[in-house]
Amino acid sequence: MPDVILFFSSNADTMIATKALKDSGVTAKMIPKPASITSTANLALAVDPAAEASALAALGKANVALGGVVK
Amino acid sequence: MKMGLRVQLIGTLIGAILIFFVISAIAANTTMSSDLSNLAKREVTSGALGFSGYWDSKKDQVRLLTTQIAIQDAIRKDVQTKNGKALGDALSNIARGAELSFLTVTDTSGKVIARANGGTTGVKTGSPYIDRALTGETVSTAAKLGDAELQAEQLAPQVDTDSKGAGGTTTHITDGIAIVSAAPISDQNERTIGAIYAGVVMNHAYDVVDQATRSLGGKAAILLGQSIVASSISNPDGTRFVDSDIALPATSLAGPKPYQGTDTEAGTDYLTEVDPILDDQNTVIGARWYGIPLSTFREIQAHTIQSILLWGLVGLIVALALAIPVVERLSRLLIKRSRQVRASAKELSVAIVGSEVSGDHVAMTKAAVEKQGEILSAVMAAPMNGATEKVAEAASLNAEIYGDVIVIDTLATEMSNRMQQAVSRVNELNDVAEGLSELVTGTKN
Repeated sequence: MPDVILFFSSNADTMIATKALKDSGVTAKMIPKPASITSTANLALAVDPAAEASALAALGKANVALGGVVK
Repeated sequence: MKMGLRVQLIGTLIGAILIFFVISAIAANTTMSSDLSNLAKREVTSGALGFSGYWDSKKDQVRLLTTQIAIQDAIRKDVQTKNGKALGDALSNIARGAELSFLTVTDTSGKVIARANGGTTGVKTGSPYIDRALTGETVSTAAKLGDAELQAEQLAPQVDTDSKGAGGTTTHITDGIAIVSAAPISDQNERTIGAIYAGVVMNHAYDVVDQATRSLGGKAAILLGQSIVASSISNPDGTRFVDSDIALPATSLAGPKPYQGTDTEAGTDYLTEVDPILDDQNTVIGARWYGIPLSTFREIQAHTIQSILLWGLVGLIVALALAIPVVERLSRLLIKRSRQVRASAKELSVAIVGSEVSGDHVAMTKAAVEKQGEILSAVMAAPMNGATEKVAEAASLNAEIYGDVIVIDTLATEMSNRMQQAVSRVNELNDVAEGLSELVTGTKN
């Protein structure tokens, strides 16, 4: 199953989100932003579909603004 | 409840000022209470002494008049000739002019020759003072006069009254308290030919108490036993407070030492001194009461405390008018600095997080490169053993590594920018630190 892509408004937010997910025990991989996604950031995060819910919860808890989710 | 800096600073200022004025008011109240109490005691003692002076002055006046009358030739002549009619007229004129209540002349046996007020003659008065005057002594004293003597001198109506006591009881007063004097009348050879006896009955006679009030400022009264027989004390309706029993216990009037304490008469609280009135035998026959309304001192105290509190309120308003702009400026400055610190901290935290994340990503990429190397080594070692699948796996891994390299490149660019910003943020934090230090110490480091 393809990964779920999480994207943010800036590279800084992407870095913060990566750290927040790591601290919450959610595995996420930083990837170049796919061309199909419109965002000001150059980076995005790929997470396993099974971990999507826990990833969104962790980001919400860390107060990181999510730009969008692509499945 | 959390309070902002403004509220804390202004609250502390208001609290400090209020505590200052409350303590000042309590201290002033306590000090004034003590000082005014001492002042009141001194005033009352001084006033009582003044009242005593007017009493003694009256006594001296009666004594002087008596001795002067005793040496008048016309009086001597009338006594020698026992001319009662002429003597009576002369005594009437003298008593009226000198404001004496009675003026009586006796012969050597103590029998009355004439009285200023008329009345019976030819009888003995029974007064011990006349007996003493006939022995050549001049007597001057306060005396309690009985009903019989007052009747004989036509003075009973001045004295007769009902004195109202506590609980609605009344006491009928028939005795009088008077300042009396008796002196011998001698002929030209200094032989005693008679005696003169004069006095001022103080019951319902107000000149002494009114004089004391006018001159000394307080209120004065003359007591016969427990009864107020003359006073300058006013009732609430403005009438004179007289013919009532004193509120003080009898023990406080017993003498011989003066009594000083509080007393309530006619609904007014007084600080009073009561001095016993003694007769020539040192027997207490009455008392002089002198009092100053306590409201005089209480009003001074209340007015001073009100003034302190009023000026305290003015001080509080002025202090707040001066302090609020300062606190406002201070608060704005701190808020601005706080925002600067928060923004800098956020930037620096991104740099730190970016550094950590970059490190993790480089480690992941390194692991991918090592894995690819292992695959390629395996293909080279056994080219015929599943080489196609392994090359495909290596190609997939290569695409992943390519992506990782792009990410690392992006992160490197991002971190480069972040580090430049971090340097400027650190400088900004130094400025903030210097600004706060200057704010606290007032000097630049």
